[in-house]
Amino acid sequence: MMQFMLLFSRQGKLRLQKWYEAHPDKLKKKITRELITTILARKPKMCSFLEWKDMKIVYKRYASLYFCCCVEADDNELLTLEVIHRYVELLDKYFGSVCELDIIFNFEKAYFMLDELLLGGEVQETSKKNVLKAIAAQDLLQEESEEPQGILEELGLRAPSSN
Amino acid sequence: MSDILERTLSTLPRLLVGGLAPAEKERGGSRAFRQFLRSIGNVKSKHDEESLVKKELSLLKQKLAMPKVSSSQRQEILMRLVYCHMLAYDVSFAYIHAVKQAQQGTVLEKKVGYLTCALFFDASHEFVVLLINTIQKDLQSSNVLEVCMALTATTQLVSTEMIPALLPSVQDRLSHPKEIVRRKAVMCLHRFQQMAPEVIDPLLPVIHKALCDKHPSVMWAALYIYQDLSKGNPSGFTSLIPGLISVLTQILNRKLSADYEFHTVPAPWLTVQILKLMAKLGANNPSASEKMYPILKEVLQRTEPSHKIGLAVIYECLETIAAISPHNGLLELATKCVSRFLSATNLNLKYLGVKILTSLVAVNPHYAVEHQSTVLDCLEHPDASIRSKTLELLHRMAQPGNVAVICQKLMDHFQQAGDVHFKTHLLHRVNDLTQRHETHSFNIV
Repeated sequence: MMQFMLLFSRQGKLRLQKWYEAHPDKLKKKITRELITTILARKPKMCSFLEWKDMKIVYKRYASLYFCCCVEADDNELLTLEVIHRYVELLDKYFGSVCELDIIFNFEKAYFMLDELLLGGEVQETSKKNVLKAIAAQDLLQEESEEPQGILEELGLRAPSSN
Repeated sequence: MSDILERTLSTLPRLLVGGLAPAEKERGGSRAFRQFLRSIGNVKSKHDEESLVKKELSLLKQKLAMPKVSSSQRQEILMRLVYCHMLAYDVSFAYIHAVKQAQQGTVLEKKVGYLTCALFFDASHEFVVLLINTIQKDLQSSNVLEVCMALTATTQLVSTEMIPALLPSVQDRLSHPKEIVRRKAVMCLHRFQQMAPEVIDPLLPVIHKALCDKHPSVMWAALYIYQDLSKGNPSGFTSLIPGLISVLTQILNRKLSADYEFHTVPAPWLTVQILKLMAKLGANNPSASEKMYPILKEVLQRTEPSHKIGLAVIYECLETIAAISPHNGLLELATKCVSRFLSATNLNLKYLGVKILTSLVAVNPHYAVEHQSTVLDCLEHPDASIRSKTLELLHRMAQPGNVAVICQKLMDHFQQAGDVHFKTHLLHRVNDLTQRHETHSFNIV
């Protein structure tokens, strides 16, 4: 089971945090700071896994963003890397080639996406199509005045806008 | 795909340095919020950030206190607060507003409310009690989105004391016509199980029904519950084995929807789930293990190792082979696969190679013999992750003949280690070895 997921920039700035186990805010802050420092100090070619307390850290860098997950000792590390990759693919598909700014300015979308991929710290759906379908259904709720998202058109849930 | 992503992400620094180009994509939030985000991005010191955030927080506090705040304004205020919260500032004054947002309004407003609550506090917070009626109402809603939101909130915000109140509604959702609702309801039950294992016992028949659901993702969710159940009582669930084998066979023969295929590997997540469950069911149970041998061999031989996800499946299969009652042929095959991992230049694979070898050595120490020189290399590896995993392997390799040397190695690394947790771990290992081999003479300085 995943304990938490952190997204942070190369400059060490936290961009997203999701905790699946309860911790006091102070401890979360301490853990975050500790892990950001440790991971940023590691060399690029080093292995993506870290022993951390009685847990494991699995991390991967995508350009300027680090995705870092804490999983339990018996979780499959390679599969966790693929969960990260799947999340990146979903963000990429949703934002249309995602960049750090998309996550800074639309972090709530990134959270909603994560909630469709993982639930209670476990992977709930691995089919990319199904996750995007769930997100598209939620997006239909958005007010009409907002610009239609490309993804809705792609899924045939909304006609392309005429202009 | 990832190449494209790397490219698009790599244009970022330019964007950041040059400021936001006018042709930037439509970004969320109001101008004021975007301006705030940009200013935060440009701060030079912690002190500047603090004063900026304090100003923002007092502004937001004021806005929330205003008698007429429109729904979209309130949503945005909450999002701005989430951001400040992520920067580790205290936003507890807004908790009650997050709760209110979840309690009332349209589905969209509630969605933001639930998200904010889940990000601001956890199940131990006193405000969670205020949400229980809302969650219960939404669980029973006829709107699928509302039900999904409530189920998500349940996994994030419910404490043990609240389970009895919500359990009937969650259980009821197990027979919902939509697959997504059934799946989330099963995941909710799994969450309840983690908090209070006894909750699950009377529900076994409905969980078994979920396991036989025609939709793979519901079955997949049910497997989480069986993983935990079989941890405590593996022999009670061996009747699942034929079913699991049949699912694995279907996966290997690509009978599952192509949506679940990942880089040409069919349903890798589901395969790994099943392998993990088999490892528990087959441990110390020769008759149960015997049924699994043919399918494990097939998984090992038929999984395409060209992509990492295939290797993830192979790795899990090796762990399963090492965990169940031993089968010499399979173990020989496994040792051959280990070489591929150990000799890989990719350090992630090398790390896993050391890990599987550790599991195999637990079955029989002689599996380490042919890898001895690789193990010694790994012990001096520049990457601390590899070194620490290798020390674990070394500990497992200890026999009367080599225990003194191994203890010496562990102590050498103890002296070099900086991390307290790791040091303690090493000491426990040495302590364990000295106790287990106390009849042999030690000469550790």
